Amino acid sequence: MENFADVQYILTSFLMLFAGALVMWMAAGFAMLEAGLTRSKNSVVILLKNMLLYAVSSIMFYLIGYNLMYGGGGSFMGDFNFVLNGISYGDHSLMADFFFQVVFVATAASVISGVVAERIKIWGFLIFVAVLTAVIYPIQGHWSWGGSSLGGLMEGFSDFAGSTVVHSVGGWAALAGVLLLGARQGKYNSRGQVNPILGSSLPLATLGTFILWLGWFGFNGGSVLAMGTKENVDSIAAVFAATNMAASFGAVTAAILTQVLYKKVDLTMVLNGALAGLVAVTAAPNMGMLAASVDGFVAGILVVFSIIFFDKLQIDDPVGALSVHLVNGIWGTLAVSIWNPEVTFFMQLKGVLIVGLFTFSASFILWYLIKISIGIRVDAKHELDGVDVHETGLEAYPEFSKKG
Amino acid sequence: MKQDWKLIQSFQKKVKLMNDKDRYVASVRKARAEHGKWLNAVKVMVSGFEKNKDLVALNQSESPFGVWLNEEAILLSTINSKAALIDVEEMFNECYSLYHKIYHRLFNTKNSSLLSSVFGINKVSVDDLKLSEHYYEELVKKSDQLTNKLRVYENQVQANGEEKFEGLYAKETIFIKEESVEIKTQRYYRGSLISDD
Repeated sequence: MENFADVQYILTSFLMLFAGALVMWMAAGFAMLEAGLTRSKNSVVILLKNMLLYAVSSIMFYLIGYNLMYGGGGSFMGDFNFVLNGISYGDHSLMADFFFQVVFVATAASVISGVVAERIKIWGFLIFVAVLTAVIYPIQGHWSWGGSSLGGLMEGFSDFAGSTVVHSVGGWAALAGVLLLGARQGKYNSRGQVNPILGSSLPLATLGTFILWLGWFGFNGGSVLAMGTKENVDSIAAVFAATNMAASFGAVTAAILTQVLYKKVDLTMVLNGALAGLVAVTAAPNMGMLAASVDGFVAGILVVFSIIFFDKLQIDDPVGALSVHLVNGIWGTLAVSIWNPEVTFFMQLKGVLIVGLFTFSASFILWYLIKISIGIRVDAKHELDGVDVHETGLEAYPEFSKKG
Repeated sequence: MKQDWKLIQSFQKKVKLMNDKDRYVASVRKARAEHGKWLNAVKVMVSGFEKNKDLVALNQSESPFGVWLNEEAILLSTINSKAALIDVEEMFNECYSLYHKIYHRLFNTKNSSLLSSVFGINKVSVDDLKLSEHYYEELVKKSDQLTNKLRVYENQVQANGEEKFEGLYAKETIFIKEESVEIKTQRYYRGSLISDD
């Protein structure tokens, strides 16, 4: 029996490490997607942001975040210890758990990167990421996954792999930032009309989406958090299949919808449709294929209309991250009440609102403090020239820009 | 006509050292000046100082401005300022329609005698002359609109970054012409109409 427990320990830890590695790869997906949907004159900064945000998230979550999220039994937050310590698990490795969780934190931060792309200052952004991953994300995560339920306020709230805890948190933080940051120059004219700013590489954006899609199997599959029994493996397999189905429905729905609306299929919307399906199903990928299909189908519709909606509000989101992660994070979380009889719509709504209110308020204050101290937006001229040359002195494709 | 075309070519040689944006802007200015010359040539014809009916090309695509419009202006229209160029093209067509009316009044030989035709002494009737002067006045107004539109277009072009013009002159004109027809259909990016102007 002792040997069997060891095997369970090993397999569950392996699941977390393997799934964590898949999720870590999502950082590459976010980088490619963002680089592809933005202009090449800003690509270096975008790649730099994505690289550094992952590194900063890893460090900050280890130093402060993990303990704040999972340590202790405080109702508002966990233990405020410096460096991960004082926590152990009987059924899996602590560091496997940490690694699996840290890549989730980085995912939330990646969401923000896309929304503020092409006009954010690197250091202002990284300071925000540092505080988000050390404090804001772990505190709200403590209420659901940390088990505190915020003193009972969030009792019954269900979010399997993080539609709210990860994705909409990234979305709320990004929304607060973009409201203070403003739109990119030239995105909206004086009559409020949208001037589309075309991305630099749809192949890159598509590659990024496929990488994200792949990583999501780790994101949702790993969130089963156990691989010690045959039932666990069945559950993981079901989650993989449901995740895949939601993305497929999201992509196909967005394709059909753009064909109907614009008489042409918009690839960028299809990419967002797949991601929207993935975000939506994340709250309940263990509820079967029908649930995943409906989640993905609705997400595919929501993402298209919310991209248009945010543009109407002149909230400039170059990659559609608000529509994908915020809107569909909310949709996916609320939809759990449709599929899970133990969960009510009110419980879910309450959880979404509490997490949203906290994350948005804390993020807004933090963004504001950064704005009035070191600033968050690059100079207008730098933005016009492209931030790459001014912020990094590099160009993403130097051979193509050399003359003669 | 060949002389005019050679002038444009020599001008283009001079601007080879400029970057593509400056070169394009210079070509817009040059085209505006060419249209002014064209208008003066018509004026000379209407005033009777010049009897040579070949002074101004009847086919608009052979006039210096028409050459610019069809061969050079269109290069940028594939990426920018298409609406302004469409307006310019329409105004230029209207100018030429008026010029055709003037030409018809000044050089219509249908009613002239064989003798006068042989000796080249076709006289323009007073009525035809008045009508051609009337058409010329309309032509001047239309040309003013055209040159104003060209100034607007020039400002729009100036407002663009240099990167938009990079490699502009390296492209094959014929290829660009075909492509410009292709993109006349409406295009959307993330739910927003891609404007060509």
